[in-house]
Amino acid sequence: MPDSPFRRPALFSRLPASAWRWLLFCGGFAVAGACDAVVAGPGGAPLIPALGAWCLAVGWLWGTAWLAAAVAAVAAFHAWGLGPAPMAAVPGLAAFALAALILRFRRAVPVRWNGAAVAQGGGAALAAVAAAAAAQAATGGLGPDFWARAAFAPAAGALLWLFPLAALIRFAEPRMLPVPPRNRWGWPSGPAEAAGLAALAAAAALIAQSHALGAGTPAVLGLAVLAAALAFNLVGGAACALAAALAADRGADFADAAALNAALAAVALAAGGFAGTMRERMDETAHNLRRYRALLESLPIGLVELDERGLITQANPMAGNIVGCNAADLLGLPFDRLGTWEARPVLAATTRAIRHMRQPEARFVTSFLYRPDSTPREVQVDWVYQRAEHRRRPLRITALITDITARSRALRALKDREHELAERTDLLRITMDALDHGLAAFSPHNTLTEWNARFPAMLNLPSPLARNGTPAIAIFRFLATLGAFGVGVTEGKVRARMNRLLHAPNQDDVPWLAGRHLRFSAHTMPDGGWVWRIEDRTEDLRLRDIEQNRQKMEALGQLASGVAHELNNTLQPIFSLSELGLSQIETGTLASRCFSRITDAAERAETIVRGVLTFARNAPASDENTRIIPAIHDAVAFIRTGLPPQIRLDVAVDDAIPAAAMARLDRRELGQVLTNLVTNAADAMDHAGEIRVECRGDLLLTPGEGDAAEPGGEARPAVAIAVIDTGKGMDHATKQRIFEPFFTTKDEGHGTGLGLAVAFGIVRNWGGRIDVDSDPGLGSTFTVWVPLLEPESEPAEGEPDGRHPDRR
Amino acid sequence: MADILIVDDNQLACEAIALVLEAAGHQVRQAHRVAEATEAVAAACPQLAIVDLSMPDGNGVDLIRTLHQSHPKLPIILYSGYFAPEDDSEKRANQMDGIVAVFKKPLRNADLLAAIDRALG
Repeated sequence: MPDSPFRRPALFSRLPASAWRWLLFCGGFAVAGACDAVVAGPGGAPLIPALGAWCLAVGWLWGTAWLAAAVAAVAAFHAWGLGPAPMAAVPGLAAFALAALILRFRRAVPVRWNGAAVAQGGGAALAAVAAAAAAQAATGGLGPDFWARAAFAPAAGALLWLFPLAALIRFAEPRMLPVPPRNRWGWPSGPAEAAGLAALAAAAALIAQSHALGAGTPAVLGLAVLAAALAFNLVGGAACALAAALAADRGADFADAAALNAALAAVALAAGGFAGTMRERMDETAHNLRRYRALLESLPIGLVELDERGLITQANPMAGNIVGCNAADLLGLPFDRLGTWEARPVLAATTRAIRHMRQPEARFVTSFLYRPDSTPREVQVDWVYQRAEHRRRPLRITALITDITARSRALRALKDREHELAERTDLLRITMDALDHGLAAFSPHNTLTEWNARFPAMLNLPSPLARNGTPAIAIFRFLATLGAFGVGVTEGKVRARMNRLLHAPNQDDVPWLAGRHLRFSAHTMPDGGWVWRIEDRTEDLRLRDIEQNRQKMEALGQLASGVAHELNNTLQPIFSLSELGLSQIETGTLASRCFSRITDAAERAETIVRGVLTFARNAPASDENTRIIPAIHDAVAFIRTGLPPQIRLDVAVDDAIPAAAMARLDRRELGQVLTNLVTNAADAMDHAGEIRVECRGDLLLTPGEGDAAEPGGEARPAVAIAVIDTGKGMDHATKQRIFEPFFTTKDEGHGTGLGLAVAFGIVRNWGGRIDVDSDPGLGSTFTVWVPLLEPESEPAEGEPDGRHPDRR
Repeated sequence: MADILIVDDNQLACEAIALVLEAAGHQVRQAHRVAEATEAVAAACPQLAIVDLSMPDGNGVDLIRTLHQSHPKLPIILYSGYFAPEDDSEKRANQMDGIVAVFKKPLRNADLLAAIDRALG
């Protein structure tokens, strides 16, 4: 409701609206009754018709409850016996019935408080009066007093009273009857003017009806009515002017003239009001329609209206745009014709289904492809339909068409990208899992976010800890419980350890559990998180140890070899001269014994030098081919004879070794190697216990590792000869040096420290190697790897061992 | 009693062997370098030469080859401290022309004298 410039008096605003209605109703009723009584006297005929019109107007303006109240009032008057005859109540009742019917069809729409509504009320009242006139004509017949009996004049007078009343209401309560600020000609039609004009009209009507003043009165009355009509509507005013002119011409009988004049004025007023209302309505409709069209045309979605048969009755430009033609070309087409072949049955079925739906209205969505030309577009159709409750009103189906081609394409692209991302993520995950390193990513808040399969495996993390969101400190606490940081570490120490491992660039190999070595490094990421990388260095360190050991042995060999050769040169004169001296003097003398000891010492020195040279030499492989198994048995049998009886020496040979397995080696060397190893074992056991020699076959000796003579070659079949003792064993440091010449753990004077070095040198010359496995207190196992000859180079069956290269 | 040339850069060893041979009645000349050995042979051809492999100014093998070319009948005994035990370089040396025996240091007097006796026939 637009704001009115009119300011309400404070007095009225304090009264509730319902009180206002009562006041208006009662006041209007009393004034109308008084006026009628003045005109026709108490109990006059006009009273009832006036009341009827009044009831009708009230009912129209305020609704059915008021109408009922008005009817009750009519009935009361009737019972009071003031009415001329029972039939006089008919107009009121008829008016009531008509009003009730109108209200019924209008479904009690909210009353529109404007001039149009009032004019409509007038129209309704006129109809009621016509009905009353017809009824009175039927009861009393047509006669000279017909007009009087028809009670046009009082009815019209009452009708006229509506206008001053409306003006009064407007003046008092603009919310109830707001006035259009201007009529369409710009005529001032504010509440003050309206009230003034209406009051003038009312006064004129009252004067005209109260006193017979002559023939000029109807003209005055007509002018008054004209003014009143003008206040509301120009067309109505013109009609009133015409009626006034007509009335002025009659001019004979006052009563007739007044009645006719008033009736005509009322007709004109009503017609004018009605026409104005219609015009207003049409304007409004046209305006709405224009707005609707503009809206339709600017809608970014296609809108198509269908009739009951599914034919297009309306289409906006966007709909044509989507389909690919002018919107006008769509009109009259069956809607389903727009779809692709696949979509048509769906569309037709949807239209049919809507036709049979019970719900008065609904919305739902289907999506399918439209094919305007060659490129199908993907659209979504929102169906809206309204089924009027009145059967005659046709079904209205509205289809809202949204072009979702671009959206679908974007959606598909998004899905593709998601898919690609997932693939990349998978690839990353697979790559991470394939890495030898343990990788774990932590958030800036030090919680685990990503990790590869090696990470928990390297740290022995249980699955509850290898989980998204695990705090780093929890992982370190767990590692502390494993003993990774030593025994009895405090929380502070764990944290310090964590900070050191994670945040300092650290290239140290950290001794870890189970003899492993790990290297930790942390890389900071842009978001403040970090990636923790763990490298298992155990194998690298082992290989490095082996390589270092090899280099050490080589250097030692060169050194020892140089020293040994010089010693040989030096031993020469000692031998020569001591023997010469011995030959020059008598045996048994002191000098003879001296020379003899010198010779013995020189021999001892010679043995040592030979051992050193055996360790150090790098001779080509022997050209002897030896059956390995019999050679082992012979060697063990020979060794056994030299062992103290407290030591048992057992031999076990794996069945996997073929009896004819051959190795390119000198069996005397094999004997020496085994002798040295068994002697070493016997020394380690303090000459009591059990020594086992186990031979295992079906093995491959991989080159490039350890001390194989030819690194980089192919893996060869080999036999492993393990000499296992139950002696005191040795620690890691001892193991590292065990094959160095002159390295011994034995007491001074026991052993030269050359036995294992010699064995080492011999086995290396074979192309094999010796491994040591030992722990303090748990005995030692020396494993000699002997590479075997390929089967095709074996000598024919029945030939003795090797030693005949010329025959092949 | 023969004229024997000992070629050895190790003077101690050389003198010791010379003493042993002189005790056995041989006439012994000593050379400590290849050049000295060549001079000695040029002055008078010995009946036997005992040659060490390594020399400060040359290789014993080359010396033996030269000696054999100039004096094909000269028996030569090769000895060296650089033969490793069971080393086949010893065997290879054995197959060189003019060599009658190969020893590795330290060698025993009896073995040397026996080889000399065999060589001088």
